[in-house]
Amino acid sequence: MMRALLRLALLFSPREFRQYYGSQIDAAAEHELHFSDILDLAATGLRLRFDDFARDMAYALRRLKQAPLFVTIVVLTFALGIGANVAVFSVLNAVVLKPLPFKDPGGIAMISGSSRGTAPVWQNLSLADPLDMRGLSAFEATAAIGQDGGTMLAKGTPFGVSGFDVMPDYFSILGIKAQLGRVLEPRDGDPGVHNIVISDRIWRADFAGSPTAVGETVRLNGLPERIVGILRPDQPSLSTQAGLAPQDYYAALPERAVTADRGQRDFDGVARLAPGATIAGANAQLALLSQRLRTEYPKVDFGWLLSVASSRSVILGNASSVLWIVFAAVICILLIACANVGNVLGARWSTRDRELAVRRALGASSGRIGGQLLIEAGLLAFIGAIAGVALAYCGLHVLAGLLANALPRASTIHIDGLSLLYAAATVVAATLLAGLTPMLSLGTSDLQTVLKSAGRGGDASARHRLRSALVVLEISLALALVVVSGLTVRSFIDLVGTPLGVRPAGVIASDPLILPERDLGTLAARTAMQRSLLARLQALPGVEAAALALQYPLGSTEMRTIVPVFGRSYAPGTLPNASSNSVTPDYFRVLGIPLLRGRFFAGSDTMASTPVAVVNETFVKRFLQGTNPIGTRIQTLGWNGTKTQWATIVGIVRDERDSLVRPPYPEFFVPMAQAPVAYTSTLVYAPDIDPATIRREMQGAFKATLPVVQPPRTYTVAQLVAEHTWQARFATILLGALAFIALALALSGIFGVVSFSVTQRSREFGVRIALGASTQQILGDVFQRTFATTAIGAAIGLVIAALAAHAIASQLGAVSPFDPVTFASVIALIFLAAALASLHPAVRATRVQPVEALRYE
Amino acid sequence: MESASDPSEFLPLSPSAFYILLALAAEERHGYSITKEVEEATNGSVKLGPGTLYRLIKQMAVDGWIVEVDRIDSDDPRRRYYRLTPWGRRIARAEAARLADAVRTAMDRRLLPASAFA
Repeated sequence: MMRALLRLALLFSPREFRQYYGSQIDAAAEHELHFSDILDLAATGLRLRFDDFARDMAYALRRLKQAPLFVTIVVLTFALGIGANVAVFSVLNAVVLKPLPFKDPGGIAMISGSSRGTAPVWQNLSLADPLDMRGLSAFEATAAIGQDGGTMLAKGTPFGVSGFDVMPDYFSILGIKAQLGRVLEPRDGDPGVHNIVISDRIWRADFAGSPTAVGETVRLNGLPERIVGILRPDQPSLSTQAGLAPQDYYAALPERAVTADRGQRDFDGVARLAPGATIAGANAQLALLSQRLRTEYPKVDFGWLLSVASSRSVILGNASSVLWIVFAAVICILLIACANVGNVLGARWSTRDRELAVRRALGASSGRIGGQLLIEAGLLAFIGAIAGVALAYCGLHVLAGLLANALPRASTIHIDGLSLLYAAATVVAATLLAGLTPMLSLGTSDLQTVLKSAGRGGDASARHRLRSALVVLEISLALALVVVSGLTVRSFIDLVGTPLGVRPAGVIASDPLILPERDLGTLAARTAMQRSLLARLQALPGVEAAALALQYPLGSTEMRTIVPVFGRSYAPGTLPNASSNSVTPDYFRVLGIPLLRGRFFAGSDTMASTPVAVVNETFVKRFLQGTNPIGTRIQTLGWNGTKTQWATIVGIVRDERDSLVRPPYPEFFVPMAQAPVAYTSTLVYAPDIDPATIRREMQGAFKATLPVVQPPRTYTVAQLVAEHTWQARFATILLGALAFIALALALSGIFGVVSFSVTQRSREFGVRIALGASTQQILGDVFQRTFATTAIGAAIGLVIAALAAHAIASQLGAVSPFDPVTFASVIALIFLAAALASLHPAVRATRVQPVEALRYE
Repeated sequence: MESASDPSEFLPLSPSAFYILLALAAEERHGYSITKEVEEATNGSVKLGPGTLYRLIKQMAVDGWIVEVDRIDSDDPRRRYYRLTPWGRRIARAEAARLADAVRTAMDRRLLPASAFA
């Protein structure tokens, strides 16, 4: 037993020590063996190993100090590879891997309603839906969420706020608590109760952080609301997690006795699943509920289907797949970097063949020499990692703005302990990957072959094959990465270039202006105010046309309703569903939307005249097939108290798109004079004026019309497009940068290998030149080898690229994952890069002086 | 290894190293016999574990303080014998002198009775 332990302890020692002294120790142990001897032996083993390590480390440092260029190249390569990995991992960790900051986030589900059949899916609930869902066993609690906002008036000072109207269960579902006072409770949903909670931010900014703010009554869009609680500082909410602006307040939606129209669907919803319930099980129950509601309310339901999805998948949306793609890309970069370093290390160590062979002959074990190589690789990787983490830190800092716009949860991105742990893991992986290949080739050289080969390095051809294999790997990965990036760029160009059907320049649009109901509660007052605002906008210098509208393409409002066509009957679930807009007559002129038939609205369309409507092409195609659209009547919902009315279609306009990715949606317009709205966006067309100037003037017009209302934000069309394409922009920029790095690394890899091989073959070239080989023949020889390697790499790369493209097909929009233009140009690019990288060494090969090459003999 | 001509550069020695040199001062020995000798000479207060012993033997052999002797042990052929080199002897002597100085100082300060070093 003790002897066995002794042998085990002996294993701690380096092999040389074991081989030399093992038998003597064994012999002594036959006479006498104490437990302390075993401990002593183990401790000595560790100490000897550490001494070896320290000696190798000092040796490696000494050697590296003599080769500053080599160190710089390798450290930079590692820094790029590891830095990119650490940065992307930090983003992936913060955005995707970390659980949402809510109570038991796995049990939180987002509720959505989608219209079935031909209509595309979109998310909106009626206020009644979450209440209906409370009867289902799959749910513990449900709450509707409505986007809201406007002007808050506290102690006479107005300020702009954004907020949520929520059913009070919102707070218990997410586990949100107040720092002062309380959060909303079910009783806050009772009729006649107007209670809100406010954020820490406005509490500090607008209530001076005073504890007496709780209990204070403020006016929100003219209506009194009592503050019952203050949320904690930086309280995460569903919208901040999704990367949107935080809420300034939460107001209670009615919990019971909902009389709201089931056809008016502009709420989101959140639910807490019952213990043990699954998303799939909940959806099965919701499908049955949807069917029941369809028969119970045939007039309002147009094929509605309620469903839930995990809060994670809804909040992360596309970000999760985009980030995994980028993560795969940076791992490719690291592999390419390691292959590059492996080649450079191998070339460097192969020039030491004689020394190593002599040392081996003198008794140094292969393990020890391999260990030295690994220590050198590890040291370089470690220094590279330090530079890489610094690079990642700066990179994340520089990209913070882009990240914040493109990704949910972006504010939580930083380099933390886990990122550093990941950096350490990449150091280990990089050391092994970069050190392994040169180590394999070291094993082949013994003293005899090395001494015989007289300065040319050992088993040259085997090594060359290994080196070429690494370059093949680099080329294939770089090609795949460039293809993926190329496809992303194409799809981005496609996305940004999507024709919206509106003027691309000269138009400025604003967010909705929310009118204080108390002051402008009457229809007449509101109409008067809107008229005066419109007049002010029209009078601005340089403005050719101005309009008010409930919504506009890519704006923040999306309003959809059911629109039965007069004289038709509909089976349950097939009622037409269209985007509905209330506009002033110049809306179409401002946006440059052409009239196809009939007429636009006119000043003569008023409350007193016949109700009229304009529809778009898709509306006609979808709902009015086989009839003459002009003169057909459709039932339009009145807004804000006006009753449902039958409006006669007087005009057909070309489609405008409300999304860059979805096809145009059926849309109908009604004149604002016949369908007044409580809040309107504004639009002006001012082609010859600097946008900044016109925006300033618009702000002035808002202030002049409504002094107590916070002026809304304004946008150019280009800004609207940018706001809708952040994520695609992010993916494009990032993948483009990574593809560039990959290509540059592969290029330097090709250069290194071709250079090295030309040096190795310089004698051969010298002989051939002496024998009369032409420059073309020598050049051809070098390029032919390069292209052969490149061709193999490209072939493998194409397979990888095809698999990768297939995997990201859903991210590419209309661009085919096997887009021939992209694939062909990338292949051409790779060959061009290979030719470029081998140009210098090839020319060098033709300049070999026969006499000098032969002098080595 | 012997380029340094002043043995004091290597002083003080660790007690283990010094006792190994002492054990080899009189005659050449194999590893186990060094352990036994050291144990006896110190009345059992210094026990060299095998790791400590052979690590020092290896280091001393590399540094040229001791050499391995070409001698086969008839009892156990696995044993190897070591002998002090003249350089090793100089180092042992220098260490002994250093310790003697220390003992003399201790007597001067009356930490030890003067008779202890008679």
